[in-house]
Amino acid sequence: MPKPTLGYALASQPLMTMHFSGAVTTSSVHLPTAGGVAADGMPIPYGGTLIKLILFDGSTIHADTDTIAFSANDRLSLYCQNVGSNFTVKARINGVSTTLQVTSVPFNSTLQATLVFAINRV
Amino acid sequence: MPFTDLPTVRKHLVAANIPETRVENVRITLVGTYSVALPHANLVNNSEAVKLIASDASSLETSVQLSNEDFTELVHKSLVQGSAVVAADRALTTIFTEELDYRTDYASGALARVAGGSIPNLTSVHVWYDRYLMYDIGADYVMDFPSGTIARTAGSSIPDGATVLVDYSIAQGTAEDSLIELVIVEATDVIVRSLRPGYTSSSTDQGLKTGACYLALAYYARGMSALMLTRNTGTDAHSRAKEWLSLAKEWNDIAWNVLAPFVTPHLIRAGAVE
Repeated sequence: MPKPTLGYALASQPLMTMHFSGAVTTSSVHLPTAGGVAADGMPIPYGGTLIKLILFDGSTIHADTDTIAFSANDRLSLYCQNVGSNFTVKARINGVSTTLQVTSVPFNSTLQATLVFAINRV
Repeated sequence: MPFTDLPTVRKHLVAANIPETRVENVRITLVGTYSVALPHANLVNNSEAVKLIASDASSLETSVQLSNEDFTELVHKSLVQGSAVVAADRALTTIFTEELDYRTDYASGALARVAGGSIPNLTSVHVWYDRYLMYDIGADYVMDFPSGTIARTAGSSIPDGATVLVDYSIAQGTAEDSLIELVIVEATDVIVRSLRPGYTSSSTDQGLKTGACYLALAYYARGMSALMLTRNTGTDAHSRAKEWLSLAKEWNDIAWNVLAPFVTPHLIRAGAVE
């Protein structure tokens, strides 16, 4: 039987999703998020944990999981970094890349990505 | 002179005694400084704990380091039994299982990993749990252990009218000497008035002693049955009363079978009615 405490813990750590999409060429760029702005971060008013990045390049799903804590008011973004023949797409906190990232994302594609994180509700 | 005595009857009652029993989380509402009866009496001195859930929000401890199978102390003691949740991270991407991956000492507020479980050695985990606020006897409440009653004190930290949770132990055995002494007198009286000519209250036949002992036991069990119904307001009161009554009938039958050679039949019936 599930413990009531587990219900409380899960409820206090709700999962949130943040979506990014855009057409990329070969240049390293931030992937635009809501409003179409490509910049280094959308602020999040609660602390939390980045747990998943999933990206679709038009033909392939790329995904990665991790547990990376961030603080209240930190800014989250996705950065497409040219690594020679393709992109590595990295989740960033305040413009600094984290280890939550997907590799081998093709140049000249249209990307749609979801960043999943839990916020510290309490 | 009675045919039996208190130590003899007590020896027989050992087999019928109920072992010390722990009762937990009895909900009692304390208003003012009025005394409230617990479901049981005859409690073990200082065996009680009076408590409230500390908060509707669970406590969270981050980065609790678990080493080998050693218990690591948490910040709080007196945790709510079965409330601990342990996860690898705060987002609960990996949730561990109690007894398979970790063990919890709820009274002491401590956590240990289980060898062969999913928690790697020397790992930090996140722990959620619920805990109790514990109150102090004397300062916050007073208890009468023999009668099983509790009351708030005037300056108590327990909010007036609050429903608290009470733990306690019921004392081993229920042989109350005063009741035994009373039933010996009653049994002796009934037997003496039923004796055949040639036997008196001074007779020393073993059959009389044995019969008197069983009759006293029967009366004692009958008394205990009534006591269960009047003093034990717990859910087990009815079943306990029935068990005592069943014993009373059994001991009464044994008593009059053993006493048969010493008493006259019509007086037995009169005695049994009494």
